[in-house]
Amino acid sequence: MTSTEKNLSLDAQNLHKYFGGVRALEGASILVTKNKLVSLIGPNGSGKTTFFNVVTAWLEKTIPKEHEEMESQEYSNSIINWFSQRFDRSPKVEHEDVGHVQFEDVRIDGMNTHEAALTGMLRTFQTTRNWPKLTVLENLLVAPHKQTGEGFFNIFFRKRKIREEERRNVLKALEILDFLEITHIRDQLGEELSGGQLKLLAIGRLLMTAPRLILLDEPMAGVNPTLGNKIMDKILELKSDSTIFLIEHNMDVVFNYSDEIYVMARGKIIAQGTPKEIETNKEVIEAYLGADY
Amino acid sequence: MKKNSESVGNLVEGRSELYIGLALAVPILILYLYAFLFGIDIRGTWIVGTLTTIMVFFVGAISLDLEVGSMGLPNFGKVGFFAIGAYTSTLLYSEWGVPFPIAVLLALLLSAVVGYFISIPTVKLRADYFAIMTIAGGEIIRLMLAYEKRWLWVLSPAGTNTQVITNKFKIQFTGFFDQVIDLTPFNGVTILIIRIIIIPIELFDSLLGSNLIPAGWKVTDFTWGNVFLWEILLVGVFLLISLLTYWLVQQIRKSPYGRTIRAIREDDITVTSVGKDVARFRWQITTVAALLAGLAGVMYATTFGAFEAAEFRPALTFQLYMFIIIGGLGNSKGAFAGTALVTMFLRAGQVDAVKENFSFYFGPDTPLLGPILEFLQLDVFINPFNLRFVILGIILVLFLLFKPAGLIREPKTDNEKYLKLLTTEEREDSDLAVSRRQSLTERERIDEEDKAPAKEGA
Ligand SMILES: Nc1ncnc2c1ncn2[C@@H]1O[C@H](COP(=O)(O)OP(=O)(O)O)[C@@H](O)[C@H]1O
Ligand SMILES: [Mg+2]
Repeated sequence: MTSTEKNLSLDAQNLHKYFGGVRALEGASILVTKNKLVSLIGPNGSGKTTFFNVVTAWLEKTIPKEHEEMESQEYSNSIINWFSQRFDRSPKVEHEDVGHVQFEDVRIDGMNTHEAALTGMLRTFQTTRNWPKLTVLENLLVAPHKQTGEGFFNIFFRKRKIREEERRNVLKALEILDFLEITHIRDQLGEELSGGQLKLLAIGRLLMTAPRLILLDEPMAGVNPTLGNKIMDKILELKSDSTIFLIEHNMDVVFNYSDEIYVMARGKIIAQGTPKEIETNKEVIEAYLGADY
Repeated sequence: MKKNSESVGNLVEGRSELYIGLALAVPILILYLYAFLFGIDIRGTWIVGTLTTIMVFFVGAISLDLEVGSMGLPNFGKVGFFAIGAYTSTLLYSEWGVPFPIAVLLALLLSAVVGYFISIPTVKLRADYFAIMTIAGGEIIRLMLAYEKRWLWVLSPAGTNTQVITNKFKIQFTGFFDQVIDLTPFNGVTILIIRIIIIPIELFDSLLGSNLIPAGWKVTDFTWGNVFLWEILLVGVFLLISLLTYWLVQQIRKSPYGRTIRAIREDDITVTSVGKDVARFRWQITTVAALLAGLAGVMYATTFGAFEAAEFRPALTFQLYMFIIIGGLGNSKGAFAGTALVTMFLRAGQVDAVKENFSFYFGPDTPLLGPILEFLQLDVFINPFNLRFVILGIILVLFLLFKPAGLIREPKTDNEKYLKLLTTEEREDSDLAVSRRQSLTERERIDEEDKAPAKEGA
């Protein structure tokens, strides 16, 4: 393994996603280096959210037709091979061209969605989600991975351990609330929060799991500018511990704070580079983002 | 200041809850008391019977509430698990000679296995389709029981195959503990209490000339009658099972596990996004709930000397829904309140004295409506028995419209439980931080909201 590979957080290569006739992704590739803030920009409907969905195993990547045939030839028609294909849990031998997603040294594509989240790569959603009848504190307490108290029989036989774990998680949750400056809503229900508070809560939920890569889908959209800036400040503070992969429409923020920018249009990456490089690449940007930016 | 207004809010809410509870409970209790005093001779047995029924349905209701109230999975095939529990335990014991405890264990096991299997489609199925699937599943089970003659019908004493299953265990149980317990010693005290209760009714009657108290009825005629030892034992055992079930469900609800299943009810996508296997929680809960429903089925079968497939119609499932919706989704106390009240109403409605004296007749002689009824050739008798489902239906609709949380609402999640885990110092720090930020943000918020109103979308 070379040193550049060791520094690699996310390696998503040649991803395709078709929804029937709609080609949302057509061979998009992105590399995210550890402890960097990498942004993905592009016009609405260009496939950014779909890219996140494929990377985090919410959607299965599409294998384009030509490759699909190549794939199935590897298994002959016998029934034994059918079984080995079904129950073989080792990584499939695939033609390199059909694309892959790798987070650090774990292969993500083919995983269940929740397993992918357990690897330490976590995401937020473009439309904020939460648990409306749970308090903010509880919204955070649900998040930590592999809690003892979530095992059915542990409820009855490991009460002590559960108490200790809960105590630790409560302290951590209070710390996170403090960090996000939303301590005052500790006792409120999820349904009582404003849009901006929900965005912060969604980030807080991820932090409970000590993520190494955070994918944020438009964290500032629909929030008033003051609160938006506050959210961005917090995201920048996270950079010391985690890698950030950001989809954002606020170009000031993207160009000021990103270490690297990828530009997506019609499911393809059309440009990549440092903010300076992208800025000088103005023709491309204007062609795809329109004159608004 | 915030604390104060909040507690006032709780008080008002608590009070309206109390009034609604009373508005429902008082008429039902009066009806039940009326039936008890004026319509029943063997009163001890009647009360014991009510208690037994309440406990059977309580176990069923609590198992449904765990799925529907806590995890948001609308299982409409609950009656199928009653049937599996009842048939498996009874057939194994009565027909195959399997020792009763083992027969019961096997019945519970089979229920649990079926419960596990119905959770599999929930991975792909939306809640409403899951409801349709389960209602169909329940009916498939009932129809199989009604028509599969080779295995599910039994030989009757007359020598023909019949779908009426005789519960040998019940017969042996009642035969073995057939000692009579005389309740006469309690008559004296009870009569004293009744005298006090009845004074306002007597006053009412003498003032208005009504006869709420039937003519010729005398307090001194009151007697409890006898009960059998087995009736007392059955109530005792059922009480024990109910308490155990209650305890089990409470343990689940209060744990981090319970918190996660509530989160699944609210939004399973977010639960998956933080790395939790939603399917595992779903199958575990449907399995446990199925096991409990199977247990309720075993209990249900024990209340009958003999039963047949017709006892397991979808109406039973809807009855369980009525219990938990009226009582309040997501909490076991509500499930009990709903079960007890509705069961008492249904039992009182069956008593002849209630049917006759709380009845209205509309026919051709009725003023105003008469001609219409004559034209339609209708005789309408309205009493708590005929109209029991109409009355319960109206109550249900009123609850869904105006009090969806039910008589007893799901306990508002309260951070107290978590903050208790902290040391006093940590706790004070956090509370202080909360109040400090609360006063701070009010100033901040004014600045922020001046600049731009929050917009949601795109
Ligand atoms: N689940 C889906 N089914 C069908 N089409 C979809 C689905 N999700 C996204 N698309 C389509 O894929 C394209 C890319 O969408 P999206 O990834 O949401 O874009 P962006 O996030 O860049 O605005 C759009 O044309 C959209 O209509
Ligand atoms: Mg998007």
